Amino acid sequence: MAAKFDQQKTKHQLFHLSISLGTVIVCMTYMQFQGNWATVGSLWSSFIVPIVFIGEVSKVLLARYYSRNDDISITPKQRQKRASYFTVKEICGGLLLQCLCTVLYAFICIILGAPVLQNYEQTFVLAILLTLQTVSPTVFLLGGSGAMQVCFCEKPDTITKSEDNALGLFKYNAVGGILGAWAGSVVAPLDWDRDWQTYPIPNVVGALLGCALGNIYVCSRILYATAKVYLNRKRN
Amino acid sequence: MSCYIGKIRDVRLFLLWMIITFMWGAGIFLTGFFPINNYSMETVDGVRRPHKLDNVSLKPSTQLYEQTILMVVDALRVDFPTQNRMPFSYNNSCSRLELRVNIPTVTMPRLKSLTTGTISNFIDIVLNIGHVEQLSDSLLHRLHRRNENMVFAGDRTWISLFPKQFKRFTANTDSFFVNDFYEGDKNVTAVLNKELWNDDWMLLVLHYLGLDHIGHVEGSESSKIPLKLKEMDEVVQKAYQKQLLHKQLLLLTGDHGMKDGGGHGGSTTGEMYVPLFVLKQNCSRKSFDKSNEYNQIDLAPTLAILWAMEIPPMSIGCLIPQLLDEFSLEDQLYAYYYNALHLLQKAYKNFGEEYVEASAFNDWFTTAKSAHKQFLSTKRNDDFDNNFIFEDAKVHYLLMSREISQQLSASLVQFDYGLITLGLLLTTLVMSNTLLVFCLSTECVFMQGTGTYLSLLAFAACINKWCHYQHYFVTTGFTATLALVLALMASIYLLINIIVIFLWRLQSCQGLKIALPNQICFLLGCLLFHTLSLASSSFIENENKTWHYLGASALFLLCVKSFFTDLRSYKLDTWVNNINFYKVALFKLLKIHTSWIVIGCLGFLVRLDEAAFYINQQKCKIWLSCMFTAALLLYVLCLFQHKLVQTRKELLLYALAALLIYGYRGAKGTVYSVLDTKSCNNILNIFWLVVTTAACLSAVILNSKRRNYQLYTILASCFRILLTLLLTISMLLHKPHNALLVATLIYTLSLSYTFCDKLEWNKSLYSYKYLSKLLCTILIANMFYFYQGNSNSFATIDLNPGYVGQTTYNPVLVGVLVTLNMYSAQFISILYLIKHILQENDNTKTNELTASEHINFILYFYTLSIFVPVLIYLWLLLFFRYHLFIYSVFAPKALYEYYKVFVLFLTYLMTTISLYIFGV
Repeated sequence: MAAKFDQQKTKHQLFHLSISLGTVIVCMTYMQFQGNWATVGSLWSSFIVPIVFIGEVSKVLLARYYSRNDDISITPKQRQKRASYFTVKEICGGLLLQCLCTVLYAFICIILGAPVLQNYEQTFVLAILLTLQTVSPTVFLLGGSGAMQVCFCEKPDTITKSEDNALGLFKYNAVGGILGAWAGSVVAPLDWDRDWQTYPIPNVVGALLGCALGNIYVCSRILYATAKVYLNRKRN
Repeated sequence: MSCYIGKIRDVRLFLLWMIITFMWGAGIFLTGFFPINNYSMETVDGVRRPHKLDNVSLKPSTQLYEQTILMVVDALRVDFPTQNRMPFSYNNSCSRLELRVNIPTVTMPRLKSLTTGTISNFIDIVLNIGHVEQLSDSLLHRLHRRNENMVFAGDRTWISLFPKQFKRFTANTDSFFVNDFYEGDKNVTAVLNKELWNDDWMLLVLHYLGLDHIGHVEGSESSKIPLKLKEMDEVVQKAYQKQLLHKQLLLLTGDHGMKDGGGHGGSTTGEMYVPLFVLKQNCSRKSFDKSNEYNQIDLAPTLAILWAMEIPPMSIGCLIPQLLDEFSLEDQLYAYYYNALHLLQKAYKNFGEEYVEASAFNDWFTTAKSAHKQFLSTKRNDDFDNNFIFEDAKVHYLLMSREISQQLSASLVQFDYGLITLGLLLTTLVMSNTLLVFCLSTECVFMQGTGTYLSLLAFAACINKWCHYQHYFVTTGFTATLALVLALMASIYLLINIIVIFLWRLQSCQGLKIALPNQICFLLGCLLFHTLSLASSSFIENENKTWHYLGASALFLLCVKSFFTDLRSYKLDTWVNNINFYKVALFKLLKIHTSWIVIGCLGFLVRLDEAAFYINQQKCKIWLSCMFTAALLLYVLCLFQHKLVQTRKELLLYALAALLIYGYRGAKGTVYSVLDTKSCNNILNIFWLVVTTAACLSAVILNSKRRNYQLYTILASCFRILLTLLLTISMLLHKPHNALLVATLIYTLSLSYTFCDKLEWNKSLYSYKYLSKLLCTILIANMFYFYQGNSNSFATIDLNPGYVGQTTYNPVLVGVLVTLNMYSAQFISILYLIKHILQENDNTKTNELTASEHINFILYFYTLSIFVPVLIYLWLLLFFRYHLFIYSVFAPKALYEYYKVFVLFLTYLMTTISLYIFGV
C-alpha cells in the first residue's frame, strides 16, 4: 500500500484535534469546579462561550500558521483573494452571517420546545455556542463569502491545502456539536429532579461532548492511518 | 424489506385477519392484566349488627356523638397541618393520625373509599370514566334511610355521588375551574356559619377546594398555601368553639395529598398520605401515636360504629382504635367483634371456606372470641372491667381484621397469568407472522380448507381442557371458553404458518438486502426511539414532547436537505460569482417561506395546550373569536389551495358550512356572535343539510365526468370527497381553539410530501419515496394528535364533542363522535396520504407498481408500525407489573395503545371498503 503520507498534514491535524479536545476538557473542568449549574446558561457569568471562542480562534491561527508553508504554491489570484479577507465588507459580511446563524439556531431551539419568554438568555447562549462550533471557524478562516461558498456548494478553488485540511476537521466539530445538543434533550422529560436537568445545561454539555466525540472519531482515524503507514515503512 | 408486498394476492384480507387476531390477543392480555372483578359490584347485605356472641347475648353500642362535622380539605397533604401553619387544629386535636389513601389519587374514587370503605380496582375506574356513577350503598345512604338530616357544602362531586341524600346542599358551581382560590371556600364557610346555629342536622360535610386549586396552579411551594392553611385553621377554630353546646365530633382530613410539584393523581408519598385530625370536646386521652398506619378505607367502618349503624356491606377496612376510646370497654369489644365478623364473612366469600379455616386469622378470631366471652362474664357477674383480658381480645380482633383487610385489598389487584401468557403468545405470533411476510414478501398463508380448521379446533379444545385441568385457566362459562379456544386455535395456526415460512425460506435462499436511504433510516430511528422510550414512565407522561421533538426535527432535517438539493441542482448552470450566489441563495430562501411559516406554526401549536387555559377565559373571548375565525378562513383556503373541492359551488357550500360552525359556537356562547342560545340545534340541522348537499353535489359532478377519467382519478376524487367531509366534521367537533389544527395538518402533510419529492431518489430507491412519505405521515399524525390536548391519562379525554347537537344520551353515537374527534389527526392524515398517492400515480405513470399496490404496501407498513410498539409495550407491561406507577401511568397507556389498534382497524375498514367497491 503506497498511501502518500503527508507528515506536515498529519501534524497539523493532530495539533488541531488536541486544541479541540483541550477546549472541551477545559470547559468540563471549569464546570466541575464552578459547581453551580445555574450559571451555565447565563451569558456573562459563565466562561464557556469565551473558552470555546478562544479554542476556535486558536485553531484558525494554527491553520494560518501552517498555510505559510503553502505560500510558495499559491497563484496570484489566490493571493489577491486572500488579501481581500480583511476588507470591511468581508468582515461585516462574516459578522452578519454569524448573527443570522445565531438567530436561526435560536429559532430552531424555540421551535423544538425551548421556553419562549422566560429563558431567552439561555437560548441565546446555546445558539451562540452552536454558532461558534459550526459556522464561526469557517468564517474566521475564509471570510463571509468564502464560508457561504463552502457551506452551500463545493469548495472554492482559491483555498490552500492546509485550509482545506482545517475545513475537513471543522466539519466533524460542527456535526458532533449539533447532534450532541440535539441528543442532550433526552434527559429533559425524566423525573429525576436533578439540578442539571434544567434547560439549557443538558444541551450545552451535549454540544461539548458531541464535539469531543466527533473529534475523537477523526483522531482515531488519523492515528490508525498513521500507524498503518508507520508499520508498512518498518516492514519495508 | 420489500416494496413488493403490495403485489401479493389477498394481502388486504390477510391484513384484516391479522388486525382482528391481534386485537383479540391484546384483549385477552388486558383481561388477564386487569381482572374484571365483580367484587365491588356485588349487592349483598352486610352483616347485621350481632346480638349474640356464640351463646352470650350482646348489647349493641349506642351512638356516641349527636353531631359530626366532616371537614375535607382537598389535597391536604400530611405535612401541611403543622404546629406553625395550623396552630389551633394542631394543639386542640385529640389524635392526629396518618391515613394512607389508595390510587388513583383523584377526588371521586377517594370520596367513594371514604364513604363505602372499599377500594376501586383499576378497571372499575376505567369503566366509570366520564360519567359519575351514583353509589348504591354507603354510610350516607344508611343515614338517609334512618331519616337523619345531612347538610353539605363544597365540591360538586359529592352531589353527583349522593344526589338525594342531603337535606340542604350548596355546591360549587364548577369544581374544575381551578383559578378560583377564595370565592368557593368563602361560600362554604358561610354555610358553616349558618349551620352552626341550626341543630337539626346530624352530619355536616364541608369540602374545601381552594388548596387543591392553589396546588394545581401555583405548585406545592406557593406562598398562598400557608395563607390558605391559616384560613382552614380559622374555620376549624370557629366550628370547634361553637360546638361546645352539643356532644360533637369534628374530623379534619384530606381526600388525597399533593405531589411535590403541586398536582395529584399519581402515587408519590406526598399524594398517598393525608392527615386525620380528631377534634372533640374534653379529650380524655390524647394519643399521637404514629407507629400505626391506617388506611383511608378504615374511616368508613369506624364512622359506622360511631353512628351506631351497620357497617357498609362493601367495606374492607378495619377499625381505628383512637376514635373509639370514648366507648366503654364492653362497647369497644362489641365494635371490634362486629367488624371482625363482617370481614370474616367477606373472606369466606372471596377465598372460600377451606382457605379461611386453614388460615391463621381464623385461630386469632377464636382466641379473641373466647377472651371476649371471658371479659363479658367477669363484667356481668362481678361488674368488673378486666383490662388484661380486654387487651387480649382487642389485640386479636385487630390483628385478624388487619390481616383480612390486607388480603382482601391485595386480592383486588391480581394478575391472571394464564390469560396473560395466552394473550402475549397470540400477539407475538401475529406480529412475527406479519413481519416475516413483510420481510420475505412470500405467500401469506399455506394452510386452508375446512378439514384443517376443524382439526385445529379439536386440537385447541384439547389444549384448553388440559389447561383447565392443570388450573392454568380458571375461567368458566361458554363465551369465555369459546374465546379461549379460538385464541388457542389461532396461535397454533400461526405457529405452524411461521414454521412453514421458515422452511420455505431455507429452500430458496434469497439474500436479504437492506439498503435504505439516510433519511428513511433517520425517520425509522425516530419511531424506534419512541417505542423504546415507552419503558420510562416520565417519557410516557411527556409523550407529546417526544413526538413534537422528533417530528419537528425530522421536518427540519428534510427541509434543510431538500433546500440543499435544490440549491445544488440550480448552481450547476448559473454559478458565476459570489454576488450572484448571494442572490440565488436569498431567492431560494424566500421561495421556501411557506416551509418556514409551517415549521414556525408547529412551534406555536406545541404550546397551544398550555395557551388554551388562558384563551378560554371569559376575558379572552375576543382573542378566541379571532382565532376561531382565522381557523375557519384557513380551512376554506386550504380546501381551495389543495384542490379538495373542484368547483366554485362546492367551495361556496363548504364556506357556508364554516360560517354555520361559527354560528354554532357563537350560539353556544364560546365566541362572539349575534345569535342567541336557542338557535343552536337549528344551526346544526342546517349545517348537516349543507354538508350533505355539498357531498351529493361533489358526487354528482364526479359522476357526470366519469367517462373522461381513469379509474384512479375517480378513486382519488372519492377519497377527496371523503376527506373533505371528515375535515368539515372535525372542524365542527374540535374545540374553538383547536380548530386551527385541522387546516394546519393538511398544510404540514403536503409540505412534508414536497420535501420528500425534492430529495434525490435514484432509480433503485424510487419505491422508497412512498415509505418516507408514510413515515412523515405517522410522525405528523402523532404530533397533531397530541397538539389537540390528548395525553396518556384519562383526564384529558374530551367528552364534549360526543354531545354536539344531542338531546339524549346515545352511547354509540357519543363513542363515535368522541373517537372521531380524538383521532381525527390519524384518520385525516392516512386518508390524505392515500389520496395523494392516487393522484400522483395518475399524473406520473413511470412506476413499476400501480397505485393500489402502493396503497397495499402503505397499509401493511402502517399496520406494522402500530403492531410493533403495542407488542413491545405489552411485554414491558409484564415486566413492570410491580412497578410503582403501574396503575397510574403504565396501565392507562396500555388501554390507550389498545384503543389505537382499534382505531387502526377502523382506518383500515374505512380505506379498504372504498377500494373494494371500485374493485381495485
